[in-house]
Amino acid sequence: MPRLTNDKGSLVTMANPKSSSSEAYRKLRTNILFSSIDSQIQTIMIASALSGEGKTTTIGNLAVAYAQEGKKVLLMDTDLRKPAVHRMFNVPNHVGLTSVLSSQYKVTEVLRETGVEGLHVLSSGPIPPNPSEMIGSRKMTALLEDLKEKYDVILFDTPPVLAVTDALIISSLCDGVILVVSAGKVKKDLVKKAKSHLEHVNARILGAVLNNVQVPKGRNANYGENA
Amino acid sequence: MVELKEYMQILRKRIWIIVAFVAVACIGAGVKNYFFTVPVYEANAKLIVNQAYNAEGFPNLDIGSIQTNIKVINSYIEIIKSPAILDKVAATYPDLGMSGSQLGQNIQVTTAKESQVMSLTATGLSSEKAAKTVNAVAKVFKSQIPAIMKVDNVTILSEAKPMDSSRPINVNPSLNILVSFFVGLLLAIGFVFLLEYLDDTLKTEDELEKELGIPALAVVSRIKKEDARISKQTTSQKQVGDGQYATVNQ
Repeated sequence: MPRLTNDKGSLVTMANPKSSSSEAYRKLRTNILFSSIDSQIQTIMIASALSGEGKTTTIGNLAVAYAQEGKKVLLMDTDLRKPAVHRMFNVPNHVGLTSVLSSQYKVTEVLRETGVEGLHVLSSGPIPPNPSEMIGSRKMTALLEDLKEKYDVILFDTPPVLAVTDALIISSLCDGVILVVSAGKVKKDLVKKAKSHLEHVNARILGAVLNNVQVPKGRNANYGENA
Repeated sequence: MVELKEYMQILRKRIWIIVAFVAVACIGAGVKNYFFTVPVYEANAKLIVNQAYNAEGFPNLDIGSIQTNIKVINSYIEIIKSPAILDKVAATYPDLGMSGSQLGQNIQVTTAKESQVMSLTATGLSSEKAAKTVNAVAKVFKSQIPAIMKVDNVTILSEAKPMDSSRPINVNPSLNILVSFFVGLLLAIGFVFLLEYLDDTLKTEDELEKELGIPALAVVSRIKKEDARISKQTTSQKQVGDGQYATVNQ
């Protein structure tokens, strides 16, 4: 059994499903469903203006929340510059997405179990010199089409929107984009800029997750918790 | 009313800044009042300017002479504060230990409008000294005025008694602290609103929706350490989470 913990200590949906934070991720899962009545949303990427706003934490917990619902979920680390998903789920990263895109491995060889039923992780693999080109390659599109048939939901962790162009390329591959905003940390202008970048490439922004909100004491009582 | 609530929230969020400002202001005022303020006492004597009898020995209470007396008071005020009187006071009462000009700084002469009563006020480091000073000035003035004005029309109405001014006039801790409290509070509120104004980060769900036009799908609070730690109960279950709940998607 893999160790159900992680370096960041932030996979709260896995560690403590009854906590209010886990509830927030389940709410996110539900709201994504409601945000698209007519079209199905199968591929979702998480974006943020700056680094450190909580993209990996959010997408990781969302992946677990989907898996807990009984879906077949794949979490892909498309941040080929500063990958973090493998650390969160404690899976090796000597091979991964870049190994597949460079035709060294087949995708089935690098998919990892996570200890959560139904949730697979595709780590980034070795850091390539040309991440943007790799992500924008035809091989990537083909790989995605292939994976879409195997999984109900595919989630992407990405680099910050304002830092590199990668996230914008990935957004064109996805059905929806979720913007993570760290409360009280990032300036409005930067978030607006990130949003307009995404809109410029016709990404479909489903909504935002307000992260790291400081909850006043006494309002955080876990409803339904019988401790 | 929504705005008022928002203001309250802004204040509540930085309540510690406000508390700190007010506390520092009050403690500062208290320390200043109790430890660094030299108490100053005040004593008061009253003089009446009235020539009780005229040359023929009749009471002199007609409007004309009263008006004259009132007019003359303005001159008296200047005379009292002149070296002619104050130097004399210093010479006559050496135990006051003050020169004429020092006396001048410690003495105020006031008069109520349209009144024959002059009020002499002296300040000093003790109530006794203040009373002594003011009485000395009053007495010297009364004795000197016939020589200066050729008319004996000043009477001491009331002398200062040390008892009357046993409380210092410049030490009032409760009032000063109260004033400091409100000044501190106002400054703090101003400061908090300034901080809020200068802070252009996104902080609330409402701001997110208002500024960006993006719906907030979820609000995640800072993950608490005890939540991220794995409890025994959850690890023993193969599937955690939703298995225990009835979900919409069933």
